[in-house]
Amino acid sequence: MNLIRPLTEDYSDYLRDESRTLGYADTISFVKTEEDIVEVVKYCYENGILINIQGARTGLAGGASPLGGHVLNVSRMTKITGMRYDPKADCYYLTVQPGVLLSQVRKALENKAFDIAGWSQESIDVLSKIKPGELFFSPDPTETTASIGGMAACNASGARSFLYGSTRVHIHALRVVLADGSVTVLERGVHKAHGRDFVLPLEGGGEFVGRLPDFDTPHTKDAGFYFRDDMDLVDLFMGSQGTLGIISELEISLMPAPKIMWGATTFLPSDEAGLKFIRAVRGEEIPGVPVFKHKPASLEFFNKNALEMILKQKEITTAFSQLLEIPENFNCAVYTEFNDADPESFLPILKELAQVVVACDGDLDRTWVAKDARELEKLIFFRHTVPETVDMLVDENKKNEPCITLLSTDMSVEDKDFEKLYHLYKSTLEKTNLHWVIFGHSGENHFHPNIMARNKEEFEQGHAIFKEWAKEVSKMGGTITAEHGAGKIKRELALIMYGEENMAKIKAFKQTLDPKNLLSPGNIIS
Amino acid sequence: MKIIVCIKQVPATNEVRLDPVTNTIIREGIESITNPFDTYAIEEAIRLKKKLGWQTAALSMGIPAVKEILRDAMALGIDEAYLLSDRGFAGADTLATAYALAGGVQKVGGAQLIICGKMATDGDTAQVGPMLAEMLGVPHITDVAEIISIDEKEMVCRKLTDDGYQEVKMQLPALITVNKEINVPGLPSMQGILNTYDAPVTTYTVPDLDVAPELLGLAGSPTQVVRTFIPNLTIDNEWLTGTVNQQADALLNRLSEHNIIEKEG
Repeated sequence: MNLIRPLTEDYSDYLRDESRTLGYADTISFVKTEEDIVEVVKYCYENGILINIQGARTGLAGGASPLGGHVLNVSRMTKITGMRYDPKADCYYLTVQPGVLLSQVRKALENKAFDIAGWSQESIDVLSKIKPGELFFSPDPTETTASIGGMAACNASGARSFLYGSTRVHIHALRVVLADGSVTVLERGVHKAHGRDFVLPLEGGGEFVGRLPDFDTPHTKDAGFYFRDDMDLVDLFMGSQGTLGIISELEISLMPAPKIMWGATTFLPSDEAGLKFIRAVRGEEIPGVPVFKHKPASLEFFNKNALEMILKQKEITTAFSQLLEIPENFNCAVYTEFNDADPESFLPILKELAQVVVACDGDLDRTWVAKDARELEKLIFFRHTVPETVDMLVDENKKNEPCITLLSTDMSVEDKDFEKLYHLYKSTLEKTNLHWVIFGHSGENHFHPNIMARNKEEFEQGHAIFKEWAKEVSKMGGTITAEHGAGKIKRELALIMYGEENMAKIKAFKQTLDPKNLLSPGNIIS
Repeated sequence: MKIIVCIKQVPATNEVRLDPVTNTIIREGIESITNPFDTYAIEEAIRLKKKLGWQTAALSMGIPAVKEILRDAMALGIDEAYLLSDRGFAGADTLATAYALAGGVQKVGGAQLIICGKMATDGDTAQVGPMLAEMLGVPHITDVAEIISIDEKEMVCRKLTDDGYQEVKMQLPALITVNKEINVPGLPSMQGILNTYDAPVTTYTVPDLDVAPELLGLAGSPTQVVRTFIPNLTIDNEWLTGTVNQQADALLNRLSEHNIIEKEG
């Protein structure tokens, strides 16, 4: 078996991912084609070897960090293999291998610069009709070096999911290698369950007949498993983090790129003003605030600790030297981004937004505006500095205590419980001596509280807090992971959310597709 | 006391594409922006305004659309904006540009301090700032990384040189060109944009200025562009194969063939 090699010291990087979870494994393969995947999977299946799947390892929940057996790494499957236009849906699609990076797709679309070697004439003809920057793939997890396969596997969302939805809805078709090495090809709208019964057509003839668990997974935009009556079978493999199959090719749907992207970061005098501003910009009716009618692409919140943390890090990290200077006496900040098809929409929307800022006790002089995509990079850089700094601090703390990993949550609730969730986080954390920040996607009610544990006790305390929150969020009918997937770090929380009974059903369901229980050990299922 | 910032509109890319037939720059689909170095000049002027209470103005030369970047400067906090726009200014090289800007500076009543970006990203000459200072008869310091002190009479700057930094003191009125170390350019405030999106930009044509028309535009430009082309940069890669010893021998041979090392024996 040429593809499989021992996972020696040289490959130790492949035992961890961005979550700082360190795993273990005996062997690794760097597959380049679907045939390679099939070959490795068949070998592992015959020999009862666990298979851990890796893309770009940018995940924040340990989904790509292995738990014994073999590491199947798809990071060398980086080809964009074709383009298609469907006149009925008036939609363009791009076919990509799972290791293709988000940044690669973005750059190729922006500059219309594709490596067309091996493309069909039909694909080349479709490509010839599009202009640079005309089309756009909307999912935007913070890390642009994420792989498309990984984003689909954990159903990643990001700041702009508020407007465009999570990765799931932008994946049109899939090729998936199942646990025994057979391959199924699925297209959204074509291959659907009938009630709870479903059939996966297999390449080369044959089919897999199955039945979905008899409960609906909570929340519609959550990461994790997705079970519904009559569901699209593509969605079976979105969010299930490699536990049911290995994605070997994806067809992603593209949309017309917005003609203008602009944004504003406003500094507000209190958390209450910040939360009120967020509700107002979401278009809710609030007494004393003009109704705002334009849906933002994203709405990001930064609490005082988060702002103080990056101010401090700016002094130390030269890469942050070009960070904008924060106005004095801040309490919190909210970043609002707009994507629009009409380039003339900037000023009218800005004027309306200004009224909302004032009505929420904001100050127009303390509101930064980026009026185009170029200037927006400064605001996005500012936003990204927060998780980057958290990563740096976790790495620093990990030097003293190796067990420490990222302690970040992405729980989400319905709109009505928005303030309740924020105050649950804040009041719990304020009672501790932990180093913590709250930031993130406030548009969809998922803030990211992050705890930077400095020792083992704090790390354990953080975990215990997360478990308490998971119980509270489950009671509110929310999801314990709205963005990153449960991976390994949050599987205990997944158990709290699904409950013992439903978790047993998930396990039994996985067993039907993966009878030897080899795929993605430790992800989601406990 | 007044500070004038000279700014230029440039294509928003440094990957300039040339038309293979005409050898002219393809501008289609490339938006125009304020020259990135000039954004540091604007920011420094605004900081000095806050510190010293001086008036600030932005000055540019170009087509009427350049008013946009002048309004951007006002949204950031620059008080006034002036544009030199006339066919008579067109086709200017660095000398004719500096001459026109000198006429503009005089027209608006001069300044105690003129700030320019170190250079424009579309020409990379870094000539206009120093030429403008010479024409106005004022001292200048280029590549300023920090203004250490400034008052109405003199200033001390830390400037970047090939060998490190120098502290230089000079009398005002004067001109400086600034590099990217000097500050972090901010974004306009919401109030700034609302105040200035339709603010007037004073436009001057050739007859408005006290200048000799023959020294302006193409006629006043001693530089002639004979041909513009992208240098052909190709790098050949050669993979050395074989055992480690064979590869090392092959590498030694290649290096000595190219006279990079002398091979012994």
